[in-house]
Amino acid sequence: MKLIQVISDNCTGCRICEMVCSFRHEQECSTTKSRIRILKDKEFGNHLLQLCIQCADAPCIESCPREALYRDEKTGVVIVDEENCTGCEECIEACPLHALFLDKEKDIIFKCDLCGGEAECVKVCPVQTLVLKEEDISSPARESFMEETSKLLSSRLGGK
Amino acid sequence: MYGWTGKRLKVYLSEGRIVKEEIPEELRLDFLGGRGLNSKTLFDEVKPGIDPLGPDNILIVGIGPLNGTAAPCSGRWTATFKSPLTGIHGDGNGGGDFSAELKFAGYDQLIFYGQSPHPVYLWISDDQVELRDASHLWGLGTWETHKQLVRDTHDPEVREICIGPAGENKVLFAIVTADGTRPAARTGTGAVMGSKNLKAVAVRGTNSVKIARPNEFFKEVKHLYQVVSTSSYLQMFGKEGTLYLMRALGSLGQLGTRNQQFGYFEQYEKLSPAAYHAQYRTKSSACFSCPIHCSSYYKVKEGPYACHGEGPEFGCVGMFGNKLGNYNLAAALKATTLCDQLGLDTATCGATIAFAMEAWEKGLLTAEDCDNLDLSWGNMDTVMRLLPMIAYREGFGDVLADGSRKASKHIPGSEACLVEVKGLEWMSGYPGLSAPKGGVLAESTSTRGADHLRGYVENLVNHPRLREFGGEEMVESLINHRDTYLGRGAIQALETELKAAFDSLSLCYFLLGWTVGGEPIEVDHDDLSRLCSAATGVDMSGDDLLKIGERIYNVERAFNVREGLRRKDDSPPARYFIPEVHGRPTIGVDPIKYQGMLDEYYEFKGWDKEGIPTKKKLDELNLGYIAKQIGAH
Repeated sequence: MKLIQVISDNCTGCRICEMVCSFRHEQECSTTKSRIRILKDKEFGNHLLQLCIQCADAPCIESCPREALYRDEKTGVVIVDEENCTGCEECIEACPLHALFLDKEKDIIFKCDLCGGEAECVKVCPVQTLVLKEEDISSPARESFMEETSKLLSSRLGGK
Repeated sequence: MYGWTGKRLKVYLSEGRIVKEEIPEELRLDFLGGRGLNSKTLFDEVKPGIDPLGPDNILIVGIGPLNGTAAPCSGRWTATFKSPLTGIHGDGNGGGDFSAELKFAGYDQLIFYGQSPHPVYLWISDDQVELRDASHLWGLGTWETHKQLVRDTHDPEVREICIGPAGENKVLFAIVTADGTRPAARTGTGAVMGSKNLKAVAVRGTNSVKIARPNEFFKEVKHLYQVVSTSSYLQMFGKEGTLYLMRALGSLGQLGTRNQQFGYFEQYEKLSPAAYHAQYRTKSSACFSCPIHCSSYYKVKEGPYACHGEGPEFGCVGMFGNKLGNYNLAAALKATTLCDQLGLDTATCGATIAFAMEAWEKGLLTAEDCDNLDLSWGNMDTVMRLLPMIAYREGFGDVLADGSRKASKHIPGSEACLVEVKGLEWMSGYPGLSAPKGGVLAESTSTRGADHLRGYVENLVNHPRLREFGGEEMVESLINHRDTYLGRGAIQALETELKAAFDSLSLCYFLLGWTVGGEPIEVDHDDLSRLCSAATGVDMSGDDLLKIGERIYNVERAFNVREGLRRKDDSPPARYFIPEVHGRPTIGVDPIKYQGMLDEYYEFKGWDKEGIPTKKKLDELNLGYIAKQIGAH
C-alpha cells in the first residue's frame, strides 16, 4: 500500500503542507482546516507533525460509537463516514498521534484521506519530510514511529 | 475582495481602548498592505516634528493580502513608525509565523497610539481582543517572554511579537521580534514599542483565508514552487542562507572590514558557510509558507561562546565578523544570540561598536572613557560585555545605545569614523571596486537611511521603461559592466518600486532570487500580479503593481521631506569618496559622477533637483493632497 512516511527531522517548519492540505480539501488557506499540523519548536527546531499514518491498530475505528470510521481495505486509508459522524470526539481522544480534528462548523470529524492517493502535501514538501512510499501497513518501522511520536506529542500537547 | 481580512485594530494605549474598523477598499487598492499601507498611515496620522519616543508617535504593524496563504515566501510583516534613531520614516520587516497567525485571527493592520501608563501586552484570539497586564513580563528577554506567554495562554502554539530589555530601556536600535529570532530590526522599532509600555502582541487565529479564484491561484503557486525547486541558486540558498554572501563577497573583496575602511577581509573563509556547516549548523529552518528555507538552527556546544539559536544571517555574522575585524565564528554566533534575546538590532549594534573600535584605533577613545574596556579590533570578550551594557544602558553602553551618529557627539573628532546615511548605519556588505556604483546610490537614497533592501540589484533589466530611458546601450552595460555609473539612477528608481510592492504584498525578496553574483530567477512583477489578482479577485497588471510601489515610495519620501530632508541628505558616508585606506584601494566613488547619478535618479522619479516630489508626480499618483504639506511645486 502507498502510505505517507514522516521524517520529522527534515521538517523546516514552513507549514506549506498545512496550506495546500486545507486548500485541496476546502479551497481555503487555513491551519485549522488542515489534516496535517506542524507543532513548531521555535528554539531548537524539533518540530512535530500531527498526521494520520493510517496505522494498523487504528484505535479511532474501535472508539467510534456510531461506526463512522472505517478502513478502505484496498487503499488502507481510514475514512470518516460523514453521514454517521456526530462529532463526539471519542476518536480524537483515542488517537495516539492526535491526528483527527473536529470541524466546528459542520460538527464532524476530518482527517487525512491521502487525497485519494495523490497526497498533495507530499508533492509540495520542499525537504522530503513527507514521502509517499509502498509499505506494509504494520511494518516495524511504522510501529516504532508510532510509539516514539505519540510520546513526543503527548508531552508537547500536555495530554490535550 | 479576498486575500485581505479588510479589518484593523486601533489600540489607544493611554486610555486602554481598542477600536475595530474596516480598512477602506480604496486604501487597499492604492497601497496593498504591509509596508505600503503602513507608510500611508504614518504620513497621515503623525504630525511633523513630534518626539519619536513621545505619545504622539504611532507604531503600526501591517501585513498584506498574501499572508496566511500558500503563496511562497509570504511570511513577512512590517512595523512602521517615526524612527527615534534617525528622526525620519522608520520601518522594519520581519518573518516567522506571526504574520500568518495575525491574518488567521482576522486583521491586516494594528495601530498603537499614545502610551500605556503601565506595562501591557495585547492579546488577540480571533474576535477576542484585550490589553493585559505585562508587569510579570517586563524585564524578560525575548525568548523568556515567549515561554511566559505560553504559560499565560496555556497554548504552546501562541505566536507573538515582543521587545526585550533593550526596547524597554529605549535603546534607539532595539528590535521588535517575532518568534524570538525573526525581528523587524532596523531603525528602532523596539524603542518605540518600549516607549509605549507595550511589551508584546500575542495572537492566535482560527479563521481561513478565502481565495477569489482558487484554481488559478493554485496554478500560480505551483509554478512558483517549481521555480524554487529547479533554481540552482535557490537550492544553494536553502543550504547556505544569506551567509553565502560571506563566500561570494569575500572572494570579490566586498566585505566591509573594520568599520568599512576597506573591502578586503583576508580570512573570510573562517566565517564562511563551509565553516558554519562543519561546526555549528544543526538543521534547516523556514518562515511561514516558504519553500526556500534559507535559515537554520545552530549550536555552539562549549567554550566561552557556547550558545544556540536560529538564523544567523550574513547581516549578523558580518556585523560581528568582518565589520569588527573578528575571525571567530562562534563569537559572532554568540553575539547574534545575545542580540536576539536582549532585543538589539545586530546591524546597528555591530556597526556602532565598529565605530567605537575605529575611534579607539585612532586614539579618540581611551580605557577611561569606556569603563576600562579594550576596544581593539576583534576583541570579542569586550563585545560580550558591551551587549548587555548597551541593552541596559550601563556606563559606556549608554553612549552606544543611541547609535553611532549620536554617540559621535560624545567623542570629539569621531565624526570621521561615521559610516551611516541619514543616521542609519551601513551594514556589512561593502560596495567594492567591481560592485555596482548603484549600490552606493541605493543605500544613500533609501527612505529609511543606509539600506540595501530598497533597491540595489538589477532585477528589472529588461523592463521597457528602462529600455525607453537608456536604450540598448544602457541595458547592455547593466548586464556586462556592473561597476559603471551608466543608468544606475534609472534602475534604482525602478527597483524601489518593485521592492515597495513586494513589501506591501508581504512577500520575501528572496523569491526574486535577489542576489549578488547568482543566477537571475525568472520571477518578476508580472508573476506577482497574477498571483495577487487570483488571490484577491482584483485584476492588477505588473505595471499596476509598480505604480503602487511608486506611490508608496513617494509617500515615504514625502514624510522625510516634511521632516526637512533634502538632496544633501542623499549622500554616502564621506569615506566612500576616498580612493585609498591603509594602502588598500577602496570603492573611491567619483563625487561628480555620483551627483550625475543622483540627478538621473531624481529625473526618473519625477522629483525636483532637491529630491522633492513634484506636484505633477504627486497628482499622477493620486497623492495631490501631499503637495501642500511638503511645498511641492
